Amino acid sequence: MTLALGRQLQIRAMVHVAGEPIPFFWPMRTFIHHNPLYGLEHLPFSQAVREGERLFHARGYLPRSTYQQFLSSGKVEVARLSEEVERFVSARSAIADLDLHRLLMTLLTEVSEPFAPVLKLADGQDVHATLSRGALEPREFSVATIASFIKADLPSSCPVYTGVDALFGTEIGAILDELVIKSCLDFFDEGQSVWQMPGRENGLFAAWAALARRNLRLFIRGLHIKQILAVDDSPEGIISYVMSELEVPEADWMDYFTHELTRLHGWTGFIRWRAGAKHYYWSQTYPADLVDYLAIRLVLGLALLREHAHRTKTPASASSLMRFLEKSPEEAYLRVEFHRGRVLPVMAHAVEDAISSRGKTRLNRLMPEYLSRKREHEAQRWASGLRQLAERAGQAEKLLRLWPKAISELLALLSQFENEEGQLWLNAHEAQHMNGLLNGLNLGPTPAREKRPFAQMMFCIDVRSERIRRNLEKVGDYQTLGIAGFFGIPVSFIGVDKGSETYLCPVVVTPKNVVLELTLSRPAGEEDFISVLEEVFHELKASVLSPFMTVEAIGLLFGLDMFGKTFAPLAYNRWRQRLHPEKPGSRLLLDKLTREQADSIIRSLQRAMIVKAVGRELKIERERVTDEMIRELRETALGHREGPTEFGGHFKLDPQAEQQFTERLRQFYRVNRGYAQIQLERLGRIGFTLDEQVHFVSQALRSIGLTKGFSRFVLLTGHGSTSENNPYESALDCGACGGNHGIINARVLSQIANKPAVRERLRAKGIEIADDAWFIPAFHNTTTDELRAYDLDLLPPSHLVYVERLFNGLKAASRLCAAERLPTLEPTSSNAAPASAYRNAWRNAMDWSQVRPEWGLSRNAAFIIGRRWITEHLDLDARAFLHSYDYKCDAKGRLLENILAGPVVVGQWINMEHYFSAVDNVHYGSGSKVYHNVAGRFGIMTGNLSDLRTGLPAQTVLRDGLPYHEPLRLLVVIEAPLAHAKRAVEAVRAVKNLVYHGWVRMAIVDPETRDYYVFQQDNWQQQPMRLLDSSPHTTKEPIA
Amino acid sequence: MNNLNLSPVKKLEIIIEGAHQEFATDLLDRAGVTGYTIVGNLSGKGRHGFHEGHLMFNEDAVLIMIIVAIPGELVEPILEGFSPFFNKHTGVVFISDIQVSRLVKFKS
Repeated sequence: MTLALGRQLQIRAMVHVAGEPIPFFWPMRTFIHHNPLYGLEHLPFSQAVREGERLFHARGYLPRSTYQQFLSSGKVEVARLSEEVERFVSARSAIADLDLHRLLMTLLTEVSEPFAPVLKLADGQDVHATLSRGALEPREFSVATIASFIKADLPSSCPVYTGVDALFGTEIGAILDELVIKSCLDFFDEGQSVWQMPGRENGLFAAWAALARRNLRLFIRGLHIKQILAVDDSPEGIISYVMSELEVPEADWMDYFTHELTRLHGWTGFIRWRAGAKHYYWSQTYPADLVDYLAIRLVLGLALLREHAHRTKTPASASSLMRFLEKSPEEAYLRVEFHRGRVLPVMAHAVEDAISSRGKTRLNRLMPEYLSRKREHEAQRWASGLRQLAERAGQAEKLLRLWPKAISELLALLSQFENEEGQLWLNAHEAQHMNGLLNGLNLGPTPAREKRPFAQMMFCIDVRSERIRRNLEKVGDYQTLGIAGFFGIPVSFIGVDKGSETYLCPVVVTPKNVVLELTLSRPAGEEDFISVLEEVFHELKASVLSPFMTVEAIGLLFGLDMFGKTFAPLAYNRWRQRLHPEKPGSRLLLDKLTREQADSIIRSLQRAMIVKAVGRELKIERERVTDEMIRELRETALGHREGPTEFGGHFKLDPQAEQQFTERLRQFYRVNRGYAQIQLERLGRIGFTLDEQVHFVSQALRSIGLTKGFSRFVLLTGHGSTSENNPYESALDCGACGGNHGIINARVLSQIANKPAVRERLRAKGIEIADDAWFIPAFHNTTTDELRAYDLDLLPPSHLVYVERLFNGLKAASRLCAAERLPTLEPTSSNAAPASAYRNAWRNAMDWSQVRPEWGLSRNAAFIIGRRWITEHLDLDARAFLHSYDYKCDAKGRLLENILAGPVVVGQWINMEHYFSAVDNVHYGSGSKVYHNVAGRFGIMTGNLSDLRTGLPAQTVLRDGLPYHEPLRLLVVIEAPLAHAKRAVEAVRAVKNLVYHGWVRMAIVDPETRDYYVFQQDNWQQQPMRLLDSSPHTTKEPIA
Repeated sequence: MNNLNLSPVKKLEIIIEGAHQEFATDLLDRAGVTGYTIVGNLSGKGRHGFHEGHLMFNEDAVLIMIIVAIPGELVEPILEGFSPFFNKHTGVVFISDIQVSRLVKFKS
């Protein structure tokens, strides 16, 4: 059977759309912070959270008991919470004379467990009777009512096996997931496993199907996969076949697919990402997509269903399941009660006996009794809950006076309130944070400086920069600025020891320019240069093979490493650094090559390939071949000449062998005209034109409002982390650089900004960089707080006399920063002297057994776009992303649009990743690191076999089981006139959507009118705020 | 002009958000389309108001247009393939009759 083309494409598109709610999962080597509900961002936040509950069975807000702790510790104010409750109550009609506000406040603040009243069997009348200690009136439940309970439990879009599992206590779903995970581990392995799955180059489905047809183990288990696979070769055809065998109505397919795909959402997210990552070596070599994956799930699922049906007569299709439900709804009801663990404990035995006997009479006899006792149980539960609540709220008497109808209304109201409660707590928590932050801002004009600062330092917007910036400003005359850590210059980087490109920019951008790193150690240059290029062209991606350290891979040396790192991290590492001195200095190739240069490189490369071919194919050493022979072979291979060559004559090759060798050169060693053209195109990607260079520098400087008054030193500080044995290390690196270290982008922009030709053009554009201003790349190690300058050998001699002062300042700031940060990691070291704190931070970075080398971006809460002056006096406690911006340098608002579209979006991903990992670490986060195992070298599993764990580990967001990261939506503050800021927000649709749908909170502070506006309840509302004057501040005030 | 041998083909102009480019081109590839042109950073007005097409640090949010010339018999399968996608996402497909001189370039 072959599906028509249109139908095939349609099924592909259905699977694509069905998978969209599941977020991408990037390989751990470059951990990308993402919103776990990214696929639902088209919905308002609270709605998306509910949808996330349905799809991922995950909680979207903290539990009430945690919020109550926030309340008692003052992180949430009662007044704020009360306002929220007031808003809820005022939108609803009164219930008799109850004081609803008081009742609900009591529920929130004094009852720790949710009440969750769902009226199913018991109704208001029953609860009323129980409250007045009367007996329940007898009532019969119709078959249709019971059928409606079941339908709500087992919606038709859920996979058939979930229905079978719920009814018969089978574990088909769990077995299926396990089989699928094993298949995925085999196929997606990136060099961790010793055994390699055969036929992977044919794609996931084809490779799996080839194996599954012959898989004896599956056959012995009674799974007849071969029969299913015989129907069609294509995954689309198989999907269509299985769905029709399952008899699922086509209108439900998309929902059905979504349910299938969300069961292992980590794997699905990885496959989704991988299918679209065209530059990813492993996906190029071993392609796979969601259609393949879904086909495998469906085949295995159908085989398992059939095997169970054969053995235990359970339904094997949606319609036979439906027939079962319609034929015996009572039996189905009791079965679901029993297998989902909801059965009344006192009747558990009786129910179990009845369903296992499968005798109708027993079931029919049991049913009325069960329903009546369950109804009683429910009525008692709601009644006692209501009574306790009313007593606490001082309304017990009022409760007793309520009519049954009013009790129903009250229970419905409580149910609705508890559904919305999380959002209420969140709003109240945010309001307090927002108020504290906005009230502290200083909107006065920046005072003019008498002289230029000793140094200007640009830092990434990352929240960790705030701490080091504050300390730098404290120790000396440093002006600090915030900019996205890729400095606005998207770079595709090829390092000295790397054979693949690394994208150094936010993942929403694809860099167009390649930057090559060349070592200084071998100035002869050409050989080294060629070896780099050779690797690029031949895609010898050696680097992708060594992502994490594993015991097998490192062998003996690793044993030594493990010893040293566990017992004496610092001393050991110094010793090891002596063993492996740092790699030699390097330069970046940033300028476009000329045509002559490119041709010459290609010629050298072709010559190098010929030398290699001569040695490998004919075993002739280089010294026996002359340059002229190589030239001639090259010309022949390229088709510029014909006939026998001197080389052939000299080594006595017969014409056929010579012809074969030439062919081999063309085909295998790629010395041919077509490939030379491709090489030329690839070389064309190297470097930036002068126009591009000027554009990037000018855009970066303007976006942070730095266009004049340049210091002698302008440091561009990238950042990254260092930790050992930490698969999450990349999560601590620079998000704006795609989860990499930010030093390369700093080096690129510095090198460009120091070029006289660039400065001359900048001057014409109104950016006056003083002649003695020198841009220096630097690196902020966020685990140790070290600040280190790079490319110092390029420094002009005139600057050397000031270097000592610069380094002193940097070191002092590092120590102060460590002293401030260390107590958050080690509560015992609250009074450590800066120098010893700094040493301890180093120790953490090298300690092999350290599960929390640093807190990373934990506790992030705000993103402030504006002058540093407005926050300079504040201690923001490393919780705010700071992007420097001066609206006066941005007449059209384009720079602001760019800040919103790039950095703010990345900040929101980081914020949401932390938010959801903190509110539900089990489902949205990745649980404890202690149980983590590296899967296939790209992901993490809990234990031996599990879904890929996405999100952040418990050690990053929780402390002692409670959220260290306070989950707040990112508060974006823009310092600009209202109209200017609003225009920019409206122009960037992605950000407008985030604001309007409540994925970020946004405030605009207008320095001209000193008015504050906050976007809430669907519009911009002016807020009354305490105004600060612009007098200089001496002490830094901490912000809650 | 008289000695030009022109053949009729169909032109599709598919306008979608940049984030879905991979999906769309993959679908076209699988339909056997031999080539296409992609225009990025579109400006224009639609149901969602005016779209500014200037360069930004976020390629997912911009609109793109994929232009493709195909033999008539591929129009229906491709539209059928896109239908579940357009049920959920914004975007448009324009279909027009065009002529090409070298038909072989547009047939797989």
